[in-house]
Amino acid sequence: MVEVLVDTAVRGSIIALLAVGLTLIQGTLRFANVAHVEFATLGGYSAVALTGAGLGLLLSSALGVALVAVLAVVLYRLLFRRLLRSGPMIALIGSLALAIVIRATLQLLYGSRPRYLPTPLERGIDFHGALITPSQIRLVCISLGLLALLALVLKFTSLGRAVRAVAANPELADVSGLNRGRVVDIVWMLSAGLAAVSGILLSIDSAVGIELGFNLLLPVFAAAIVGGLGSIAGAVIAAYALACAESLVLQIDWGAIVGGTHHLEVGYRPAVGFALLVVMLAFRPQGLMGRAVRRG
Amino acid sequence: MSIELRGVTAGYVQDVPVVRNIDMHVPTKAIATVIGPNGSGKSTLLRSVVGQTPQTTGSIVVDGAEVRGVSAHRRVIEHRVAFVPQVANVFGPLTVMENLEVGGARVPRKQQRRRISELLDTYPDLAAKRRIRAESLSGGQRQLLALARALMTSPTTLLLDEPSAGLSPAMMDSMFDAVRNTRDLHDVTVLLVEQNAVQSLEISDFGVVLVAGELAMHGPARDILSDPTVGRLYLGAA
Ligand SMILES: Nc1ncnc2c1ncn2[C@@H]1O[C@H](COP(=O)(O)OP(=O)(O)OP(=O)(O)O)[C@@H](O)[C@H]1O
Ligand SMILES: [Mg+2]
Repeated sequence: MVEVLVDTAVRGSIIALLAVGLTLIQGTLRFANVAHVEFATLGGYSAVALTGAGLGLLLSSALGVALVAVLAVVLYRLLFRRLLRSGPMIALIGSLALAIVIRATLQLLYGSRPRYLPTPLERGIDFHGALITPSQIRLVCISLGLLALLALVLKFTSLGRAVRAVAANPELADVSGLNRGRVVDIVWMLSAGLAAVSGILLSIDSAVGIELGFNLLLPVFAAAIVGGLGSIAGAVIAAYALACAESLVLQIDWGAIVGGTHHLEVGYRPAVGFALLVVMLAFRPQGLMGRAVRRG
Repeated sequence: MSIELRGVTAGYVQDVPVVRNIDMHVPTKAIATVIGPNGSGKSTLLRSVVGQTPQTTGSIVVDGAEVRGVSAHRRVIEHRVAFVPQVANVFGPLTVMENLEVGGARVPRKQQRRRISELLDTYPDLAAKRRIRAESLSGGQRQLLALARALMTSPTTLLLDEPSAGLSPAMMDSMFDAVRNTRDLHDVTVLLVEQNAVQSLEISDFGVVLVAGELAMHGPARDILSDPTVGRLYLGAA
């Protein structure tokens, strides 16, 4: 059971960092960015490229996050802002296309073999019977720290109020004198930055491959939707709940039901998110923390 | 400090004008009421003054400055226009205090603090609810908050779209008082759209009748009030 806890903390953190960004973009622009998870992949490869160029891991990570954040704003300005003029559905399809282009480009540049970041070999720590590595502890702490920081910024700063105002009522935000374009730019930077952090943390913990982000697409969307699109707290809670459910489903010995000992293969993991999503959409379509009516 | 429209045509889709060829003038510190049937383009007219509806021709001059082509948020900040829309006129999930802070997001911090305390003094109903989310306010408090939020920037031009909609008769009276007091205290020019035409015209200096996107009549509020045709059609007179 301790393993479930460790698993939940690690995978939940990765999903949460991505889901909050997705939900922020959805909240402010009313469109689901399928390419969001690719920012995680790009984060991982940026760190690979920069460490490959001789920079230290920490500096490479920081620069990688900044690069991805800037790229996100450029993509928004050049691509998504135009697409959004034709509606959220067009923007969604555009983001799907962008995701494919990003993966194809990375494939071309780096091949399909996974890459590893130059992390020092560290000994795992025995935590009540479960093995936990220092990099996993760092992953969880950094994630929780960033999520807490995001929550504080949104709640207590004027930038945070502006983001919430734009999400609640974009037209009213305009006539309140807020520069909506600038607020949206910052939301893209924050969202993509957090996604890149998530990708780099995951790359340090294991490796970075072309499919790093794509493999997270379903759980991240599930967490954002189950949490109630636009709700940060909802997305975080749903991310950890989903990770916990995934871990439990894989750990449980289904033998009690089907006879013998029987564990599900890891390939079934995405099914958990899917099941949770379906159940949620059927019984509470506005999500955990969502409002039936958001505008007003 | 005045609003001047010359030949203004505006609409949402190209080649489908909703308001056509509007000429009107609201002098400094006057109150003008726009009345007209549903769908005649009253909201569209107001939205084109603040820059939320694309304007195709004509000129809009606010306080002596042409604002054509200027974005909505710049009209609010640089030309000191304030606008309260007909629906969704507060930030629902934000508290009363946060609504005011967002309204004053672009004014210096000290001035913002001072303005908030002034407005909360003026509207004690809101002061009592400052930590409450706007979406859980009563209809009257909501309209007051919408007005107060718009006043955060110390505007010289105030555009109100049906501020008395959905209010009880008592609350309606206090809303019209609030509009008149705002003009008297804060030196603003007010252009408002109202369904409660008689009450609104009574506090107004000028009246504008909009029918099917065109100006049907424009003159002193007193004249509009006593006009027999207007009375029969829009003021509910016998
Ligand atoms: N966002 C919009 N996009 C397209 N057409 C619109 C939009 N808003 C309003 N219209 C159309 O413009 C016309 C005028 O609408 P407007 O809201 O300005 O009228 P109004 O006089 O304010 O009506 P009401 O008394 O119901 O508030 C209507 O035919 C309406 O359908
Ligand atoms: Mg209207």
